[in-house]
Amino acid sequence: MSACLPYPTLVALWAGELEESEAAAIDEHLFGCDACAAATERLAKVVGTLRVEAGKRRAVGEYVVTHVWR
Amino acid sequence: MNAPTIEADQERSFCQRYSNRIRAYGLCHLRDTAAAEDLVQQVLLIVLQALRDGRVKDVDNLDKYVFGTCRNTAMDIRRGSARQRRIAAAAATALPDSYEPRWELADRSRLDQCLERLEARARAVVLATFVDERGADDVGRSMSLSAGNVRVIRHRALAHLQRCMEGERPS
Repeated sequence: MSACLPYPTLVALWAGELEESEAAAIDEHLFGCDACAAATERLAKVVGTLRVEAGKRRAVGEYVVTHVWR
Repeated sequence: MNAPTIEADQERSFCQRYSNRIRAYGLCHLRDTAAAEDLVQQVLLIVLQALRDGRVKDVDNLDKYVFGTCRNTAMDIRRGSARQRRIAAAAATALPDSYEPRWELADRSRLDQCLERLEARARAVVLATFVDERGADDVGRSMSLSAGNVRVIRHRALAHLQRCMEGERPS
C-alpha cells in the first residue's frame, strides 16, 4: 500500500470495522507515511477525547439526555 | 559485520517520530488511554534497546520494525503477559530524557460545544460508534438507516467534530 488513505477508511479503522488483514496493511502504512500518520494522530485526539470524556458522562446517563435524544 | 548503533540525538529523533504513531495505534486497537501510553513506552524501549545493541539489521526499514514491535507488544498487553510486565517496569527509567510521555486530550468543554454543533442524528451516530462501540449495521437498525448511510453520516460528522475541536470556534 503506497497511496495516502482516504478519511472514511481511517474512520472505518477507528470504528473497528475492517477485516484483520486490511487493518494490518493500513496500520503498517500509517507507520511509514508521514501524511497519514499526522491524519490519524489528529483523529486519535478526537476519538480518544470522545471515548474518555463522553464515555464518563454516558456512564451516568448524561449524554443520553443532553446530547442524543433531546 | 555488526549493524550500526545509535547516537543520543538519533534516539531523540526516533522518539519524536514514532511516539504519536504508536500512541494512535494503541488508542485505536487497545481502546484505552493508559494502555496506549504503556504501549508507547514499551515499544520505544524495545526498539531503542535493539538499536543500541546493533540488532536492527535494516535501519532503512525501521518503520516496519517499529510497526511489528508495536503489534506484538499490543498483543502482549492484551494478554497481560509476564514479558510485558517486565518491559513495563524497565521502560520508565530507560528512555531518553527528552521523551515526553504526556499527551493531552482535547478540552472537555470544547468537546461538549462541538458535539452541540452537530445535528442530532449525526451526534447520535458518533456517540453510538465511538462511545458505545456499536457497529454500523446495529446503529442503522436502531435509527432506520442503512449501514452505508450510517458510515457516510459517521465520517462526515467526525470531520466536522475534528475541525471544530481543532480551532474553529463554536458560535
